[in-house]
Amino acid sequence: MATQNGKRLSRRDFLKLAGTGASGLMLAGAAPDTVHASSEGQLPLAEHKALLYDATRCLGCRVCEDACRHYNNLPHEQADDLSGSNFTVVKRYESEDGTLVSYRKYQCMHCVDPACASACPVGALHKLEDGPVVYDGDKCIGCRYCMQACAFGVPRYDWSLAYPLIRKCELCYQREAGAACAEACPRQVLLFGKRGELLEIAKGRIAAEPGKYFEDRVYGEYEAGGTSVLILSGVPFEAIGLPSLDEEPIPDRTQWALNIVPLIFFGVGGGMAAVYRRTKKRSEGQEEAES
Amino acid sequence: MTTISIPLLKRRLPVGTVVLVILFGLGIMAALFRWVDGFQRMANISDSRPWGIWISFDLLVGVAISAGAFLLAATVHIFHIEKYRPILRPALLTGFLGYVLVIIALLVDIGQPQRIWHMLIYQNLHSPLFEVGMCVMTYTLVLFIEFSPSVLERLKWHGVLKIIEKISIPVVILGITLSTMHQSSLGSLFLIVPYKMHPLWYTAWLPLIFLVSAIAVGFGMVIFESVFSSWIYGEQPRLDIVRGLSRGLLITLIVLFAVKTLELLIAGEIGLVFQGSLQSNMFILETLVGILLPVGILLTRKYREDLTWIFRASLLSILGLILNRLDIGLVSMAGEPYMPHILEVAVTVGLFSGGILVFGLAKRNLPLEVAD
Repeated sequence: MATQNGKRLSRRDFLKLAGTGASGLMLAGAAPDTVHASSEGQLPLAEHKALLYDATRCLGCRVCEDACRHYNNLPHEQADDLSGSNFTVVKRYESEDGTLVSYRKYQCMHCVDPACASACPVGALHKLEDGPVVYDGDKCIGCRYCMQACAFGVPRYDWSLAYPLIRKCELCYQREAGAACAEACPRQVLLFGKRGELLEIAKGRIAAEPGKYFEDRVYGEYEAGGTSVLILSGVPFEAIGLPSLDEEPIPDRTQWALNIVPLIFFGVGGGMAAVYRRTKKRSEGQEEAES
Repeated sequence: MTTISIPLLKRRLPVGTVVLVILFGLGIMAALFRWVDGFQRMANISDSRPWGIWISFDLLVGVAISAGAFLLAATVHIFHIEKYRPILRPALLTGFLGYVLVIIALLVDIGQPQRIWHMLIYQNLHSPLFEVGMCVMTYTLVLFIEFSPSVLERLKWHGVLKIIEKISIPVVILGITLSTMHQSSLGSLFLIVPYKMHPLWYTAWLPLIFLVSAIAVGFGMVIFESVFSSWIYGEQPRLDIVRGLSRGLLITLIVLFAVKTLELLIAGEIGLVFQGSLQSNMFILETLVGILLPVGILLTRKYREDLTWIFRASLLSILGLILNRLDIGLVSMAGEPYMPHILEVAVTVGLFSGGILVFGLAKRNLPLEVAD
């Protein structure tokens, strides 16, 4: 995907090439050229559905939360965190004397290369070709590896049930008018649209008022390979709970280890067969010598 | 042996057995409670701590300490080192029971245990957990086949026994391959958490470190078992076998120490060891208990031929492995503080007690000693 943007051959593309090479050795049934589950049949990144949240404009009215609960049929009670029954929350960050530092809307970041989807053993989480990272509760075995894998702590478990499932924001992927939260936002703090266009708007705002936004950049443009939720902040990202991530997509950390599995399979298997033949001759030779 | 009489059974049983039966019963009850009522009232795992001791102990420790099975199968069947044949069957049995316990623990841990078979049809090849799942399922079957001659001999099913013997070498090789794969992939599971795991443990070398430490504890476990069961059942311990295994333990632990130290040096993180934080202290503790002390014992001329000291070294290597896996699963991970609920512990303890009981039953009723 990086090459689509005309960038240098990244580590990721290198891994992809390496993966294709190793795929000659792949086990039967393994799909050879799919180093990333998410990169199959994807629309260009700029076309992906996305959200832009400008924390400097947010007044913390939390109308977006209500709209989310309404559309997703979740219990209508305000919560102070994401949970198995709450997909988005606006948190208020204060300084020690209680003055407002910033608001921050939490929800699934819809990563370009989602760690949750790569982690899920049964593929219950996957990235749609137009961006949203969605969940199929009928496949899920409830192992919670996605919760472990997500760097943003987004997927939540419905602990109230004896047989819980994962719950999270799916960017209202089936809703004609786009994300319900963005539509409800009275001050257009939250915009729904195509990732490319939203990035342009965000960069336009930064250019119009240099110094207003933290590091004059958009959170989510490159973090962990990019996210579909883009965030502008007037305060340091970490101060509003945004982890500092490098540009490497998180699934790449795992993929190389999976790519060498066929090598291990045939290497160890073949090696053991060879040892068996050699030592068998020797031990038979010994037996003959003894008898 | 101290025994107590059980009126219901009208016979006397060793105290140890009675305790194990009680613990096993409690564990089953705790597991049933989870399946009926859910996690909320019996487990302290949470959104911030999605994986608790069932993963860190039952899965990570359970699989590692069962590594003795593939090590001995390789030693005897593939490398043809006949000296170790007498302890092969007990090691295969421990391995098989270990994997069965791991699977039961996972059925307690996952939210939708009735769908565990989904892994067979919805395969995500990008998931290390998928690889682990498939390997654990297949390898459990392999261990069942590898151990089956003990049962078949007892049942005198010679026809089936002949078939098993015919396929035994490919099956053993498959078992070694699968073990290499999933012992290392359990480490790959944690490659996905670079931003949550403490840098003392997080490294791209995790798969290698998991594999080497599993081999080390595999030797440790087989030593522990051979010496311990010879004491319990009043048999003569086989000193030459135990000495040979202790050399395997020593070499693997030295390799493990070298790999871990080299990794920290290359990453420039060796200074973190002496940070004085909870994490760095736990790292020192696991290295001391699990690697440096047993290596020290096994390098000392006075102790390395002494059965009691070899036993102690094996015990330390097992304790160290347990510490290491708990560190990786719990201590090294960012999140709210987690202490397992008493009922989470009950499941873990109950399952291991059940395993020991079944081992004892098999030891009395199956030809584990007979060389095949």
